[in-house]
Amino acid sequence: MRLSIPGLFAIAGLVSCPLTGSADDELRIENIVGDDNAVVVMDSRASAGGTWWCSNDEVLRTKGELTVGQRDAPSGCNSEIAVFAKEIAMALSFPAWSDSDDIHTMTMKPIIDVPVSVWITNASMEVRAPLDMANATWIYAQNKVGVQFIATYHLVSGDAKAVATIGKSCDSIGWIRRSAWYTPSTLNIYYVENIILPPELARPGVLDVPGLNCDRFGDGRIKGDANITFISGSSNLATLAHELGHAFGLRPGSQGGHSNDLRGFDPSNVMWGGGSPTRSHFSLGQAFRMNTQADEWGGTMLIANGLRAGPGRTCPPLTTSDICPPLALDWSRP
Amino acid sequence: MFKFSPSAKLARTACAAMLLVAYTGKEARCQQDAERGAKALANWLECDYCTQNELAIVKSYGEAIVPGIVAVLNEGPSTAKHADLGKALAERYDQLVEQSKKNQNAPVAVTKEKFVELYWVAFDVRHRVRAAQALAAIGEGRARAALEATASKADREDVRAAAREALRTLAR
Repeated sequence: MRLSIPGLFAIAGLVSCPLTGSADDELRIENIVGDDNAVVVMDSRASAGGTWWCSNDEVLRTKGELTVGQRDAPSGCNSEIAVFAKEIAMALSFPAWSDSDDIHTMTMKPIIDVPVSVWITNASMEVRAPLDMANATWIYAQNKVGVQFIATYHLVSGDAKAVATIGKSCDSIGWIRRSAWYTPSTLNIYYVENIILPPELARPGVLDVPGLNCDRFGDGRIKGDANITFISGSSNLATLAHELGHAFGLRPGSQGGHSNDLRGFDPSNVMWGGGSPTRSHFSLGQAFRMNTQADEWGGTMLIANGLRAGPGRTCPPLTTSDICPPLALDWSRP
Repeated sequence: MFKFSPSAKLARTACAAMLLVAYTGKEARCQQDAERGAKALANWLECDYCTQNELAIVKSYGEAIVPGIVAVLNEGPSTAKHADLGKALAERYDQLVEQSKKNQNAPVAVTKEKFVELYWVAFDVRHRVRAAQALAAIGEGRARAALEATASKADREDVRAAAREALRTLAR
């Protein structure tokens, strides 16, 4: 028996498409840079073989076009896609999958430039500050957080009034915010000789800490300001990146803001309190929260400073739900 | 009826075995204590906010842990740690230089040698300062002697200052 070419195509079509007529839905992501393998975190109502389920926190990878199987109208399931990719901003989308074949397209936006005002009262840190900042940009890029830091440096160590006003801890924030050494709605980093811990964090014999974000620590009148961070002379290469994690909503330290001893984390995590100066890892759950966090301390400064659109989402680090991925959720590198 | 009656030889063998077990057990415990002490010291030297009572745990080892702390005060982190961190910092420098070629907002304006030195010195000083603070907390005779020597002879002023502060704490 001989088959014509069109006949062969017809048979091939029957083999590849189930008789139910249901085919796979597709995700298209536009503006991925180069051949980056973007990370996709997807919540949806998935179905196969006549059964369905709410599929949460599926981690997928794509260079632009991705077949995602059969996704149905949500019907009580969360329908959401978060995309993390190199050199572009993290994107959130809420696809309206239907019960038929769909193509959902997401157009990625450029990486978020995060302005940072750096005020140096400790002259010995003048050389280090830009290196700390370059390292922070590198770490946030490696982990596809979707931001890069654009710093302006101010050496104020010779200005006694500036040094006195900035002080050594969060009890200065009222003075700082009323001074010329503060840029509103911007991350402000203060390089000081040493930091005095707020009473809430004080421990007998602990005289020095490498960094402190004032997210939850104020002066008695102001509750706190996550746009204010102190970096001390005892800091290391990772300290700035760590404190910026707090500024972006990974807090409180004792409730998952610090990853020490949490399941799924090790000392290579940037939010590990202590450890290697070259630690460089953020989990996907941390990267998600840094972009979206809402909390009683102002949430992520990306939204508070108008760099990302709100509203934020209340996902305390240790909370997992259908809209809050587990903090330890991660992706296989690269 | 069966009666268990060990021979003198068997009893002697069992006794010797028990003594051996007891001896090796003591050795093993000693070894475990040393490892726990070293781990406790490392936790104190490297913690940022030190919320897990790291200093109190070091203090609980008393004078047994003092030689280890004095070694850190005098010599800084171990040679192995120096080598590991030096290598990691050199790798990171290369990565940052690569980044700087594409991102003008992340310049690297120092040589690799300077970069490694900057961050190694910070690490080294942090360890020595924390060692001084631990000795102040323990306050044993050898601790004071080591702090006095450091306060007058250490190469760096920040380490000397930490030793002086530790001595002031001891005097209170």
